[in-house]
Amino acid sequence: MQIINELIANSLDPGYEIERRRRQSSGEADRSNPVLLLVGLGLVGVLFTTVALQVPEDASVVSAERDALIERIDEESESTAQLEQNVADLQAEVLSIEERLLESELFGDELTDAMLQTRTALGLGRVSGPGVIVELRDADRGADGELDIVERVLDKDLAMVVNGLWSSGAEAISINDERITPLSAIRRVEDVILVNRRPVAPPYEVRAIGDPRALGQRFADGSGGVWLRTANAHGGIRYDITTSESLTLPSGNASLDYAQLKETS
Amino acid sequence: MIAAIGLLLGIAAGLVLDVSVPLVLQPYVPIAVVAALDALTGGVRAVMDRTFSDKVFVVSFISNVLIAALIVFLGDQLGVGAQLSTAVIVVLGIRIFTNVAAIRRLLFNA
Repeated sequence: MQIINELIANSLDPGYEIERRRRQSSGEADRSNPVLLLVGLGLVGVLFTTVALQVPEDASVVSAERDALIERIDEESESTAQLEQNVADLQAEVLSIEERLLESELFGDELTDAMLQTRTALGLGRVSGPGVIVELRDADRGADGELDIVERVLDKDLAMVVNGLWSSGAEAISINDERITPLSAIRRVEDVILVNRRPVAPPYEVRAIGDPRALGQRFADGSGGVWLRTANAHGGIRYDITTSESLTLPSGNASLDYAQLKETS
Repeated sequence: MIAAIGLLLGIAAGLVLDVSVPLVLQPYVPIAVVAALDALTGGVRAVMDRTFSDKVFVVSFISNVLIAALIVFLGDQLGVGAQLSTAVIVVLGIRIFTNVAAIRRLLFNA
């Protein structure tokens, strides 16, 4: 407090007062030195101009960097999409080759069926069929326009919905065009939910293929439905369960690099 | 009169030379500006108090800028750069505020 009082009382540089007294006592005339003043104020002018020129420059650098980043993100997403298309094409090709090879063998049809089933269970290849759609939305924004953590759809909510659907007999599940495979993870980084390491944005649409009547009913009665009702009661999270006669789920990616099958003879 | 000419010359020099601040010095630029504003308002108030001395003005301007930058530099080295910047800004801000208030009182008698 003392310091602040001192500061306000002596806001003018004491040097001026000292200089005035010295002049008075020595009887010197009030002469000024124009060169010194010119240099001093010149420096002030240079400083201000430099800063004034610097600020817009900095701003343009920042925005240019951001634009470049956005461009790079767009490019990379595009190339990712292209690579995924390649993978899907190659998988289809492998499938047709395998089918052709198995056709000639004894029990070939059975093997083909078993292989297709396994692939579908792994989340490989686009699949379609009847099922249910569970749509999740954040709670309505209140008067302050802010969302509390309990009012947001969290990774946990999506994970509980997916678990509930599996346990209710779902055969294939996707979240906003990200297929859930045995290798999928649903997690949250800051305010973004990542599925298969890819960000998904609300509203979250969880599609599940299975017996549409039984699946929806069992899900609503099971752990998933209980979880959603609780989330709705506590945070106002909105959800909607609808059945559909025809759903199409995208292909997932579950390629293995390290795990190798051990021969059991 | 001389002051105005000096200021205009400085602005012209800044425009012509187009000095870009090196990256190392950039954190100290805002502090330097605030210190310069402090010296400037102090100078104007001294003129109105009829105690102005160009020597005191120039010395206080240069030393204010240097000391402010030095304090922030020291703070950066100690890892409390942001806090010390705040301290410098607060002190100089209070001085600028009271000086401008004094000028206002002298100008308008209110």
